[in-house]
Amino acid sequence: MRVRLSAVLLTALTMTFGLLTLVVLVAGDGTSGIAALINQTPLPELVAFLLRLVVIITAVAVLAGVFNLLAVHVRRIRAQRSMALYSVVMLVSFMLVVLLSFRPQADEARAALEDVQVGLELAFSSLVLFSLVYGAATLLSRRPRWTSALFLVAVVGVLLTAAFPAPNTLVGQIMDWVNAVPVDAGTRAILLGIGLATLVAGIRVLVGQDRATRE
Amino acid sequence: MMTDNFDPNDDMSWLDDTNDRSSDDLGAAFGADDLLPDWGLSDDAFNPLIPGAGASMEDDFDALFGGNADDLTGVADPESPAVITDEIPAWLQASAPDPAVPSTDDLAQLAAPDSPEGVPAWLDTQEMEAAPVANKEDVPPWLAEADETAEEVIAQAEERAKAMPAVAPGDAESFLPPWLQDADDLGAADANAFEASFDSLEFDVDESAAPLSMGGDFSDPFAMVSAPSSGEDMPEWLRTREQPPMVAQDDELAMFLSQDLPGDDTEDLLGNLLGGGSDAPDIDLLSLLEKVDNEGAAVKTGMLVSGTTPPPDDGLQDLEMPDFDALMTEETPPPATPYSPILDEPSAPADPELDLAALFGEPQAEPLPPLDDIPAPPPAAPRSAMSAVTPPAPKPASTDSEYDAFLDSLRGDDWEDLPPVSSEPLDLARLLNDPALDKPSDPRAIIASSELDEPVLPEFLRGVSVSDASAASLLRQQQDVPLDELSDELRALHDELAAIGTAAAAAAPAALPILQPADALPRPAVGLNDAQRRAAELLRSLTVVSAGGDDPAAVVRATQARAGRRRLLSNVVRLAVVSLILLAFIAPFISDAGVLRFAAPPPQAFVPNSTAANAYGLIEELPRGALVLVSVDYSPGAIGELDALTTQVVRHVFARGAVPVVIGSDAVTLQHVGRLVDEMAGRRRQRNDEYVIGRYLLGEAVGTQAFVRNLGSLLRRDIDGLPTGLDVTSIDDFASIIVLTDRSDTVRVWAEQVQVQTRVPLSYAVGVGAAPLSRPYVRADGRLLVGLRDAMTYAYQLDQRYRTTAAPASVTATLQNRWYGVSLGAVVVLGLVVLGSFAGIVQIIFRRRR
Repeated sequence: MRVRLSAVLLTALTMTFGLLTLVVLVAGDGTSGIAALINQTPLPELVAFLLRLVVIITAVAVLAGVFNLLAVHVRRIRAQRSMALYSVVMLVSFMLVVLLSFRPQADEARAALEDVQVGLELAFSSLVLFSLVYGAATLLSRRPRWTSALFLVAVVGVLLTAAFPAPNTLVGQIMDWVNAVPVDAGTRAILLGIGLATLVAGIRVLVGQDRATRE
Repeated sequence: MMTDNFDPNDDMSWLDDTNDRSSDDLGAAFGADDLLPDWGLSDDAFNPLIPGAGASMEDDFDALFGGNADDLTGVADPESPAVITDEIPAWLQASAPDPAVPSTDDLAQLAAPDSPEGVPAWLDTQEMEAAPVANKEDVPPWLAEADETAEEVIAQAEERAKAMPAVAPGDAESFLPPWLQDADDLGAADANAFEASFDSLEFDVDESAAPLSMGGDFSDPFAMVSAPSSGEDMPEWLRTREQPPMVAQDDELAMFLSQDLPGDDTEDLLGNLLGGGSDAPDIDLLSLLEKVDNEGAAVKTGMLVSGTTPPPDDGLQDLEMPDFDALMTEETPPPATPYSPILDEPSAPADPELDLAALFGEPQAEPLPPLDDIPAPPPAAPRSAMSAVTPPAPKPASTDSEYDAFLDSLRGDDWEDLPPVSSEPLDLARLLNDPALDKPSDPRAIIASSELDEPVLPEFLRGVSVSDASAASLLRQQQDVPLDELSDELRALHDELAAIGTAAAAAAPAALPILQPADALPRPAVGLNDAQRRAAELLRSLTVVSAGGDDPAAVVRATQARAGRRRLLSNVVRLAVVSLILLAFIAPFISDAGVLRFAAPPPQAFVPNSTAANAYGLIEELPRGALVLVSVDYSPGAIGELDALTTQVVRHVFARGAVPVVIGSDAVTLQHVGRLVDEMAGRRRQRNDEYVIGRYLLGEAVGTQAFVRNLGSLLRRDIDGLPTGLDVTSIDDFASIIVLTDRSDTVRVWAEQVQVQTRVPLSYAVGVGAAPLSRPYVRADGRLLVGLRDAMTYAYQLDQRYRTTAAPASVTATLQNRWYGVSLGAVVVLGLVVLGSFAGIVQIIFRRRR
């Protein structure tokens, strides 16, 4: 069995700081027993520092991603590909927003975000809505199955209660029951699965079996 | 033996070579012993070049013919001394390897593992030299005499070779016979013509004779042996001994005879081979050895046998010939010693390489009967001769005198002019490993590989070459046996097959109709039923043959037009869907027509003790100056839905005199909400005094945990980098936490990372889409606001409670228009989905009907 020193060190660091963070989080702000003992140590400050360090590193990673995006578009412009015009537009927009951000009030930069960025994201959301509606309308013609029919029945029911909210009517009571029992049960099942998976993932990290640190 | 029916589940123990050390040696030499076959591994055990390879011939033949069948592949350990058992005759046990034998090195060199392919180990061992006899007194007289003769022959050959001038390799061509020189001049392009030239080879066959019955058993090694031309011509000595006369395949026989034979005894050996003429039994040694070998033997056998016209029925079917397949196993008893003129002729040189007695199944090495006991072959009819070769057929010799006369005829002037033959022993291993046998169409390769540097062929064989092409031509010349000559069984089988063929032909349709273009399809001739006719129509419509006819351009145009129409229709449908949805959402903002505002407005107040009422009540209880953490974690796409909730919550906080501290995990949304809060605060409230627009948080769960544990540093400055003036060190310093999000994951993160370590009450304001997955994190007495409906209710309740609270005047009207727009849009979407589903159902029905 060949063991790499870097992998061993990485696994040891991960396990150590993971256990420290777990201990501090379990102790919380307790003032009695082991929690008080832990809080008297510099461990809470150490864990806070580590978390802050993680956030800073994440921010640096985001910044690195921004530079990588710029590099990609610069390469596309140099290669004079057919889509290079969009890269030029992207780079010019980026430089413009950055320059506007150096103004004292930076109202233009905020306006760029409000009027351009928000508008674009709203447009994307509208596009998602259109895609969902078109897909639901053509679902039976594309996938004529009983599951498709069941899905469409659920969609129609939700839309009916959204368009004609009538809590005291029979339809409203049925939809309330559907939301309270089957939907809530399914949701809790999904969340339980997520919680178990998170627990397993945490244990794997703590025992050094996580794939990110194992190899 | 590799077969097509190889079953890996079979007992493969025979692959477990017991020669571990030999395997190691070869593996060390080749680097990967696992890649070598067992016979390749065991080959070194018998390679005299390898030190310590002391396997003797006794061991070889014992394993091959008389020993355990498992020992056929488990050859002796090269480093272990040869085990002398009781099964070995005493005269052989007394023998010991004598390196002084001149042919040993040559044999070892030829048997070196340079080209181990093609010859299995057990066969390779047969070319091993027999150990010199140490105690010649124990050797039978006939064999001792043969050894002495061999030594004399070798000595004479060496002397003759010394007397001859050295021949350079390049001059070897001058010694070639004319037919080989002509062949050598042929180029690669003329290879086929050269091969076709052998098609002229014909055999004179007595057609009146009965065909040779092969019994369908081509595994019989003697199936390769044809018979004399006539049963009546069967010599008496053959009939009495039930020895099948053999017709040598001229190719292989020429190859065999072209090998260097020892000195003057070549004549004797040749005489024995020829058997006193064309009617004497000839042995197809190569075919026999190839038959003894594994793969391809049957093919070659069949080819060789079928290359000749079936000989007459001369009673050979009843001859008892040694079963070579049975010889390979221990269970089969050794057959009776067959007669072989080569082996039994005492005048033939006892070639240590050509130990045919052992090869032909003499496991006990019993002394052969003296020659005198063997009746001399009577004169026989001339054997089948190749008319194309037209050799000077020698007279048959049935007596010793006739033998001598025949040999004298062979020993003519031409014979004397022949260059001396080499004294090297016959190297069957090299012969079988000869790559020229695999590619015999190239005569130069044949000459070079078979070392035909000395034209020692008799005249009648000089027109024959070693080539499969000649056999192929013979195969092409094969003719069907007349039905009258078939046996009763074969004739019955023939009749049965003919009957089956006639019945199948009668049952089969006359001819399959060829698919024609639609207009030319002969429907009545095909006889389609209604369902098939509909399917044909559908197929015709799909292939647009009917639309375009026979013109390919028209077909292409029709296809393109149909695709264009289909694409246009799809785009029109999509455009209609988009237009309807947009119109539904925009219409309430444009017109206040009652038909567009059909949706009932939300309630004016929250239901008591509901999650929304709890959220409202929590903010309602905030003291003046209390810090309220407002986390806006929704994306810009949810601004239209959640901005209303954010606005109402901040209005409420302002109304209570508390200080909202706004943070967010979405940078764009945080900027947007900051501007929104700035507008709500107006000029009366100062930023970073009565409200704070905090920092952008990233990292989701880790970022949230880091924010909770580093509040002091993260809230020291606002989003613009200005100092906030906040003095908070813990999350507990806030009076309330309100999380606004459109994703349930954010609810989970705040519930898991923050709610478990603080007693500060959390309230959630989520979108409609995130509500189902967010409800489980909210207890029954929790605080949850959902979507636009609760936003409007919140606005109504705030308007009723705080009339004096500064707020944009259009908030209520905008919320109402948005509410009506969403309701109308939901109805339109509902109609589109129902309409589309109905269309889908109709389409399915039409498809099934079609």
